[in-house]
Amino acid sequence: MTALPDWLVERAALDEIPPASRERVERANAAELAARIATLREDNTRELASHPAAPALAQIEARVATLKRRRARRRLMLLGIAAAAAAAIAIVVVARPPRADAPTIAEAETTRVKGATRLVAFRQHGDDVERLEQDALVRAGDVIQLRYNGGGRGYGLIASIDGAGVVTLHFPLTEDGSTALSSGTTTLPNAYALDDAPRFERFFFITANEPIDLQQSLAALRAFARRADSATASPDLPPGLRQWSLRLRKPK
Amino acid sequence: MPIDSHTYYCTYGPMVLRRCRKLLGDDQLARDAMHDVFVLVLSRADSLDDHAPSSLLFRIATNVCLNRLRTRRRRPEDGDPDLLVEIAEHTDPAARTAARAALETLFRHEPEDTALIAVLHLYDKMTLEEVAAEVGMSVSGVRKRLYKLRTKLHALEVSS
Repeated sequence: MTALPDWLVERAALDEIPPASRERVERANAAELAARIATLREDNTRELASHPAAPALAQIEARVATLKRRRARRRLMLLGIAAAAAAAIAIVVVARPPRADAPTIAEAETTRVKGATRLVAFRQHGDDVERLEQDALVRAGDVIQLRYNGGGRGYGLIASIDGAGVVTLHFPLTEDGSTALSSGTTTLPNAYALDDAPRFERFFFITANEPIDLQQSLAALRAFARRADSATASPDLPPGLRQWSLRLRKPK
Repeated sequence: MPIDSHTYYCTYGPMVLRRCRKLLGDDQLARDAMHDVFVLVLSRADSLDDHAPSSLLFRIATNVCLNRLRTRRRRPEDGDPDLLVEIAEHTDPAARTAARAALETLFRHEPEDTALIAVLHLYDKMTLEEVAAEVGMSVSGVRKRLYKLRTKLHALEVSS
């Protein structure tokens, strides 16, 4: 008679034995199983006494709240802002002459991101757009549109970190998406509304000649985002990756 | 029905912690991973099925830990995670070192669910039927994934 694996003893202790495992549990040595369950329950008691749930849950729930805000923002972005941006382009080009002091997206097309690898950000101001240079001042609610050129490198990701230490992935759209870049200059399909994170928003364009391990790069960025010098330093990325960043400042 | 996060944490937290500790081999890393698991689960609390949550938590904890193992910098002091060593031994006991190196490559490039299936079957000693129930696939689907994994591993060994 072989001993039950740990995971199955855990399920038995929680009275959540899967149907596919019932026969296996029934064949097990009942006394030995009972002893292992008792040991687990003692360990549970010790763990919750030495590390009470309330402080841990407070941290977890704060992170959940941040994550939910991010998801809501992304939903908003997906549902509305791309359409609004497209409408704005149409309005600018078709119905309204642009202001003399602000390039429209149509004009910005002439400011191509060509040649070397680059990432360019534009801010939408009503019907107009403004190209954002390094350390441009931005505010919560500003809508940012990104454009990239891989400069001959076939793969890439675009992510931003903010002053609250949160990392947001912009390209690919999901963490299991392909990192293959479009050739030439490409505008991301979705704009991005800044939240009220303090101090700065820093966009990273990371490229490679081979498919990028997104999880690995995001983990590196997440660790980097928690550093005190994340506004100015460079993240330590896996070999073979090149990085560019564009930092936008928030008002103090 | 909304779940009570306190009850949920007290009921399943120690189990998740033990799972993370077993896979990562480090108490602090395991506590961080456990937090990640509960953040993921509680952020989807509205859509959770409250039937046997231990399976869901176990699966998420495994994936969180595998992601951490994938991204762990390979420093000598990290040692070999027991997880990789055990899977390597089960996959090819005769070529333990090569198998371990190949597995690291596979774990970096294989889909997340294939790595999960390999861990559940080869490390946790789940039967094919138990793995299938755990990941919501057919038994033949699980068997195919494991066969492909072994084939790729063998090809990597041959080429190395």
